[in-house]
Amino acid sequence: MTTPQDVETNDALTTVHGSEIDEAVELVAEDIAVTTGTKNAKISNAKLAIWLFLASDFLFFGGFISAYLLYRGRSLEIADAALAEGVEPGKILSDVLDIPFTSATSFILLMSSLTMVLALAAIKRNDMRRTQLWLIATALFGTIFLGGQIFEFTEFVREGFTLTTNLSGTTFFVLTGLHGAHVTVGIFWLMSLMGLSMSGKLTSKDSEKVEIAGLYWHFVDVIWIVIFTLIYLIPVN
Amino acid sequence: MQETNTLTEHSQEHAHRSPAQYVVIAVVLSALTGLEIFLYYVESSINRTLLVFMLLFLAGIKFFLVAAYFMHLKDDPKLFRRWFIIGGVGALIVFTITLVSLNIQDQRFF
Repeated sequence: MTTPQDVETNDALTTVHGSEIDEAVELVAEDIAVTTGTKNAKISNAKLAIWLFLASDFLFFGGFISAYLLYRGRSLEIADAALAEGVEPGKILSDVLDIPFTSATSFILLMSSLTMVLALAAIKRNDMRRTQLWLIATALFGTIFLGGQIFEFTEFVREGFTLTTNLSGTTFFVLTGLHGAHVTVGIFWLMSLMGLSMSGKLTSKDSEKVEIAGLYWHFVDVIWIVIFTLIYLIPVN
Repeated sequence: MQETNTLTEHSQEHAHRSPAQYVVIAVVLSALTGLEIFLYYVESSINRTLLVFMLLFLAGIKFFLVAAYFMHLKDDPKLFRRWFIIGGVGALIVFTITLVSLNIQDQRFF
């Protein structure tokens, strides 16, 4: 039979150990839930933040891609009307595109995603030499892509397709320029990681820093996959 | 900042792919890019609508491969995948409605 003294003792024990027991039960329940897939694992704030940023940036690019798709046909109609009136029409994108060149730079950007993911795999293995190697390779590929874009822009302008030629030109340069700005930020980000790594401030414990930079870099790559197909490969009908 | 559960983080690391698997995925991506460029050059011998759908389909596969494997959406917590799918599908619906309402069909796309 339970005496009032026993109840008192139990209450005291619960007060002392209750919070620890609750915590342990909570942890076990969470592990079971994560393992069985009924609950998401705890997520770091930094990773959550970069995903939120990427989601908003996705919509941002979506708006610019839509604007280009809307205006490229209209620019063609204006060019046709100018021709009908005997006026020299402004150049349109398909007049100046160099698909083999852009394909090569697109391929380089695609391969930079591979070197980026290899850098992450290397830092997780605590292989800092390979981490640095792959980070440099990624930054180098990004720089080549950017150089290619600058060359392409220069050629387009030289041939008469500029930001102010028509709405197609405006939306094209703004969209691809914006993407180039993202690549530039990515290169600086990678170089700062390289700097940290060379000064010994980046170890396998900081692999999340490389993972977050990687998520941004891959995002820049997936956006280019969409831009390359919609703007370069699907010609105006 | 580093509010991660040690156990789950450990299991996530193991869930990520090996470097050899990443190389295989990159080879597939390269092959798909090659196919896209090939389609661009034979466009005159393919029905226009079919060409557009094929190019979009190939871009979709490339997009999926990078997002699922290089961005680890396939291995990371389901929350990211849900956000990505909801956000992506939502954006696609919103922009499709916008483009259709602004007469994209008149813009010589198909």
